[in-house]
Amino acid sequence: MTTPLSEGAGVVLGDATEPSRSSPGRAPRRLKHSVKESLLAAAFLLPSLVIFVTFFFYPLYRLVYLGLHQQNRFGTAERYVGPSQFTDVLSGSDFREGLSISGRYVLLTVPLGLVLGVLLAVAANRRLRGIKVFQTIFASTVATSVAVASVVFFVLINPQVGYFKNVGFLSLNNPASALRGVALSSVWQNLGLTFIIVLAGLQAVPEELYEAATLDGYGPIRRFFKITLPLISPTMMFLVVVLVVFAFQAFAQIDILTGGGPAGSTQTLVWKIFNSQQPLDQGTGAVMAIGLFAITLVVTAVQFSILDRRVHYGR
Amino acid sequence: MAADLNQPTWKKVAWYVGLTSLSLVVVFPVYMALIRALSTPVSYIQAGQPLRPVDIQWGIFARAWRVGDLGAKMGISAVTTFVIVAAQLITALLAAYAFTFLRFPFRRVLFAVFIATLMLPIEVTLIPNVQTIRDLHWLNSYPGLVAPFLATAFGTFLIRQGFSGIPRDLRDASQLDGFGHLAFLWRVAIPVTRPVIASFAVIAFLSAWNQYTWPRAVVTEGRWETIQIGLKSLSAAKVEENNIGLAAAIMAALPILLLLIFLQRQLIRGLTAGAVKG
Amino acid sequence: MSKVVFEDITKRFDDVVAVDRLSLEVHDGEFLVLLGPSGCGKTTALRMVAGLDTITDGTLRIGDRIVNEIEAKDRDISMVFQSYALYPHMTVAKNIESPLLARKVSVVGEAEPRKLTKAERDVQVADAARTLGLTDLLARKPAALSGGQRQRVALARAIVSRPKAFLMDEPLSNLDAKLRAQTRVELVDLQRRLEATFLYVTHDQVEAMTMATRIAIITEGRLQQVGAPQAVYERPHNLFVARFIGSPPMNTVAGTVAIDAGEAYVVVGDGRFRVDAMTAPGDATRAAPVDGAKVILGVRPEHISLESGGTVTATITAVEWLGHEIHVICDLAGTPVIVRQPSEGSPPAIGSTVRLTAAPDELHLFDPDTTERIN
Repeated sequence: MTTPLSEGAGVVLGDATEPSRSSPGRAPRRLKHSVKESLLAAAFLLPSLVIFVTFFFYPLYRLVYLGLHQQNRFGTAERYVGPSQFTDVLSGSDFREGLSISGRYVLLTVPLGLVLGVLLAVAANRRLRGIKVFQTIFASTVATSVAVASVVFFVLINPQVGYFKNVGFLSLNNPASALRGVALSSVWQNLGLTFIIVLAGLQAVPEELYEAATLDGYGPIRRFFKITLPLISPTMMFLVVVLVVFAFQAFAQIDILTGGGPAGSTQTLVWKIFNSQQPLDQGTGAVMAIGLFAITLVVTAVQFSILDRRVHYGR
Repeated sequence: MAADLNQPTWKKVAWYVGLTSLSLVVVFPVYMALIRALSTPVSYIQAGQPLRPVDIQWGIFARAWRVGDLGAKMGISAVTTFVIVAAQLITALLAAYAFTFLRFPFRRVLFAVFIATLMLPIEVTLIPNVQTIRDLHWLNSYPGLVAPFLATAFGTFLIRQGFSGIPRDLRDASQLDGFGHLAFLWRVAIPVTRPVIASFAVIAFLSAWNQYTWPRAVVTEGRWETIQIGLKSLSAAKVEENNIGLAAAIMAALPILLLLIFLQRQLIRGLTAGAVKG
Repeated sequence: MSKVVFEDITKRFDDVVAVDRLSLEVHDGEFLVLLGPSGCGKTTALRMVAGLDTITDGTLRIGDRIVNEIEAKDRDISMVFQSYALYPHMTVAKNIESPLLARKVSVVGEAEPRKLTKAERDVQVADAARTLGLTDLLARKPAALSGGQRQRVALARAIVSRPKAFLMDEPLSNLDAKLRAQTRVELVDLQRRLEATFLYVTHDQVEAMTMATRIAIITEGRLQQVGAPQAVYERPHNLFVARFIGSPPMNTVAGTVAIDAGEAYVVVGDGRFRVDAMTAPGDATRAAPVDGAKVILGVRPEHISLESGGTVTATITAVEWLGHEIHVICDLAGTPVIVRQPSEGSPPAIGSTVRLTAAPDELHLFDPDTTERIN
């Protein structure tokens, strides 16, 4: 095809010569293609896999290994103690205490956090002038790290000079209430995240559904329970899972606010694991870590199955 | 919630009042932290802990910066954060590309491997990982701080979702244009999914900057503390100096606060990925 | 420019045969339309030419070259996609330029194909843009363009590398009706100006009829008939083609052969139509169907009319007035039949009985079992 071209750095494109190139054979070409692709995939996946094997799967193996052994104080010698260490530790008071405290922590932070988050999101999900300002304020705690939130909250519940130091309900000095004080700091810190996620879920609900409900005579309360809640239930389920996992991983706030005290009343599982890094403790620590892993798995799975049945997808 | 602008004024005022009250409650802890940071501690307590600053020391932020060596700590945090985010972007982009566009054996198995890592947070794998770092002599070092976080299954899935959204026609057109895989990744896939990648980068930044448990475990020397760890030592100070700790905490939160203000869309998109469909 | 030759091309996806022994030659410089319903394999056939799908069996040539194993970018073809597949983050200019970035092109006067320099690419891009009237839009991004403009960018991108053949996958389906009609004309004009080989896929028979030099009808992966639009319209080789081409579609009625005093008739309903002698096309050895054999009679709506002297009775069930003509829908022994009438005069009332007539040389006969044409 020779179409007249403009002048300039012009080349004329066309079939100059026609070298008749027929292919040698079919099979080799096709094989070469997929081998090449597999090699490329291997190269692309390798970096991630190296990290995962080294810092996720090898440690999992090591945890089991450590759980089956007992080391001396300096980590220079170890002896095999077998699966009995698993049963001993997991049924022991230390682990059960840690589990109970972690469990309490979940119960203290998740329901309250959800309710408050929903409250804020519902309040801020309306068309008013300047609503974006309120939305930014409500979301602002997402900017705080656990450390920052703990330090900031310490201002309020510091037993010596805290603003609320006389509020016995949250006192960090009292073993009965210390966990509550710490939990409150987490609830506050999670407000931003919860708010953002629930708000996004609310905004995904089509306006028309509310209009139709209003036409049907539904009041605001009924609209909330019959339309809003069911339609944001997938979002809520996701949020519950996330918050529960976060709560089980509580460490920094304990480290900063109570250091595990008073009287060990805030020693969550992770806190205990963190403090089992000495060779002497690594065996028990490893078992507890595996316990934590198993519990997180089970709790997440249970949540998925329970909530999944109650979740309403689509219309 | 359908509340349009045609509402009666009293209702609107009521909402404003309500929203403002809620805002005050949310902001209260930060407000108190701020006024106590600015106040002279002893004077403040003597004044009965009012709701306004007492005996303001405007230089407290500069002093906290000096006393707490915050510059160094922020530096450590900054370097580790940038390294982690960059590494995660690279590994996640490549892995996501492989899962989306390449065909290879054991693809499903490897995908499951990625998923499995989501169930193994650093809190569970802490003891062996710290031991690994110790054995590599990486305690109190940048490699030690960043190593476990150089790859991310979450990021891989997020970006993979973005890549899957690229119309097949676009891939075909690139193939006809003669773009190989790397050219397609660089010239087409990444630019087209830029919003998703940006959202992930923001979340990765947030997560890396705010880390506590891992740095706490692998840092034993003061000069290697990240800003978050530094807050613990600063806040454990005597009551007479808790304004320093508070000032430091406020400054530690600033970078993320800036993110929230300037990159709000990406931040929100990253946080809600997976939570909301569509 | 080149021809494209399918030699017994077959494509299998696991157990499904998408294209079944397709043999077809697209001549150099012709506008060949692959026409067929959705899922018939026409797009798969196109994609095999492009190199986007592998060929399971058979040989594919572009020009004289066997291209089965040659990669898409080295086949010297270009493709316009249904959705245009423009890079959303690149300007129009960059979109048009993209085939020249990684592909080698044949340059007149040079023996081996090579990549172009930046200056050379710019010239080609400007040229392609001018041909399609896009010179003012070069700095815009696809999002800022209308549907028609985007389509022209896709076309510009296709022509910029001066390929041997152009492949088009339903490029008009995303345009509104008016734009579609206008673009049809422009496409035919473009093909003529470029003296290019176009291989065009569509399910819209109007597009095929108005644009093609030849139409190849495909269904279920098999080629049914290939020929000029008029030939395919006037002499469909089987029932599928007969019913697919033409709007409104050809009327088909089941009937029985009757030989009476040396004349052949087909009995339908309560009457009969006289037909010309029946032979299978190109097969003189096949005997004419015998008296009493079952056939399917086909007649186009414009070739059947209502006349009091007609030979077959029918009842009117509906009348559609289209402005320039009327469609009278009748019931002929349980089968609906459409009759086209000019819009002057008043159409008969619904429910009334009428008589139908048709000239013997406008009747098509098909074997009910093989669906092949038998006259």
